Amino acid sequence: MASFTSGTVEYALFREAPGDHLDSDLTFRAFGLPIGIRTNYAPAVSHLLDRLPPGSKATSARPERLYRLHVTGHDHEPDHGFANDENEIAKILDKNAGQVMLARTTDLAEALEIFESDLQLQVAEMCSDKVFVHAGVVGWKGKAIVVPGTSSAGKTTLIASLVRGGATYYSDEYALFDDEGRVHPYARPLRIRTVDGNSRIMCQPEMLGGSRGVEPLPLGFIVVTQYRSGAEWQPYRLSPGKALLALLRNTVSIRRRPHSCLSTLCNVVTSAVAVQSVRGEADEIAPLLLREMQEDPREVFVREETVQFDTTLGGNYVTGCAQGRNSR
Amino acid sequence: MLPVARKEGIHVEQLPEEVIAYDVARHKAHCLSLTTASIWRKCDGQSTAEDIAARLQKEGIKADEEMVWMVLHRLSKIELLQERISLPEDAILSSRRELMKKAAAVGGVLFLLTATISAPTPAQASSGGHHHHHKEHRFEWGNGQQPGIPTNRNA
Repeated sequence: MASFTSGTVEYALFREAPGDHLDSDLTFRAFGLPIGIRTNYAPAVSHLLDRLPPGSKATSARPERLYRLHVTGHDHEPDHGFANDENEIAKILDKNAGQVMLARTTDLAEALEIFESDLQLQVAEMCSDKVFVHAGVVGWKGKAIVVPGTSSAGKTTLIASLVRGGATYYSDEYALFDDEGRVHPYARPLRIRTVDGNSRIMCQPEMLGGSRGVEPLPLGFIVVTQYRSGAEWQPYRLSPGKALLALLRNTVSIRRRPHSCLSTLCNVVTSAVAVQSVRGEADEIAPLLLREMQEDPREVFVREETVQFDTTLGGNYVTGCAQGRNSR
Repeated sequence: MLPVARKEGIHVEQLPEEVIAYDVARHKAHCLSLTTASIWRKCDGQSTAEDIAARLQKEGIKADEEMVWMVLHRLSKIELLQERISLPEDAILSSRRELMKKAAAVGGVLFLLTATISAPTPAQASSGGHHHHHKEHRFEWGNGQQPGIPTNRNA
C-alpha cells in the first residue's frame, strides 16, 4: 500500500450514502436533498461551503449523502476520530463499505472541484421536482435560451458571450425544468477555462457586465452546438423529436426517472425552436443568436434537416447535412 | 415469423409529428417518424409486411411492402420488436434510385427516419472531466487484493 510522503498535505475526499454512519458537522439542503459535510480540518469548511449548490440552506434533517474531507499532514491535531495514518483510513473504508473515495490529492483546489462536481451531480440526480439537463442557460426577451452539452462543447464560453451581449445569466451548468416546462436558474458563478485549458476560474456574471435571472422562464430556444476552430455557423432547424433527444442526451436523471423526465421535456420541445450547428468563436455567434431570437426565430431559421439513406440491408438512415438557406 | 412490437418496458410519448419510444431496460430513446411509429404499432404478430402495407394505404400512406420491410428491419435492429426478424432475400429488390422515388411519393425519406440515443448515466451527463476522475478513484485500488486506499497522486 502506498504511503504518504512525509510533510506533504494530502486531501482525501469520500462520499457516503444512507446505511453508513452519517454523522455530519454541517447539514444543508440543496434542491430537496439533505447533504452532510464533515472534515478534520476546520480551515477547509469555508472552502467547502463556497462550493455548495446555489440556494443551499442549513437544515437539521438527517443527511442522505455525507461528504468527508480528510486532511493529513497538516499542522492541526486530528479530531473527529480521524488519524494521520493510512491504516486508520483503511479501517474507515473497511467499516463503511458503501463509501466512495472521490479524490486523493495534494491539491486542495482539485479536491474542492471534485467535491462540487460530485455534489451537484448527486443533487441533480436525486431532485424529484425538477429535471436537471446539463446545459447553459440565459434569459433573453422573456424566454430561456438553453445550450445543452458537456463542458467540452464550449458551452460556458458561449454562455459568457451571450451574457456579455446583454442576456441574463441563468446557468453554465444545468437547465432546471419544472413540471410546467419553465426553466429555473442554477446561478452558480461561471467556470471559465483558463487560456491553457487546464483549469477554470470562477467568474460572476456581473464581472461580464451581466445580471442574474431569478424568475423561471418559458423555454424559447434550444441551441445544439459544439465549438470547432474555424467552423462556420450554419444552423438548421431540428424537429421537436430531435431536440428532445439532444436534451435527453444530457439529462442527469433520465435512467432513474424516465417517465417524468420524458413527459416534462416533451412538453417543452413542442413550444421551442431548436437549431443545430457547429460554431466558431462564441463572440461572433452570440450577437447573431440574440438578434435572431429577438425576432420570430421560427421565421429566421428555416433550414430544415434533410437526410440521406443507405438502402443496403442494414437499413441505416443517415442524417445528412442541412440544405437550403436561412432567411438572411 | 410475423413481427410483434415490444410494449412492455417501452415508454411512449407522442409529439406532433414524431413519436418518442424510450426503452427503459436498455436505456435508449428512439425518435420515430409518424409512419414508422404507425408500422410499429401494426406489428401485432398477426400481420405480414404485405398486410401492414395494405393497412397503411387505406390510411392514405402510399407505402408498399418493400418500404414496410425496410422499416421492420430498422425496428428490429433498434430492438423495438419482440424478436429479431430476418429480411427475406427478395424483400428489397428496388434500386436505390427507385427507393428514393418511392420515398418521395410518400413525403420524402423523413417518413422512414428513426434516430436513437443511449440515455446517459448521471456521470456521462455531467460536465466533462470530473467523472473521469471519479472513475479512476473508484476502481484504482491501492493493492489489488482487498479494498484499500486508491491512489491517484498525478490526478
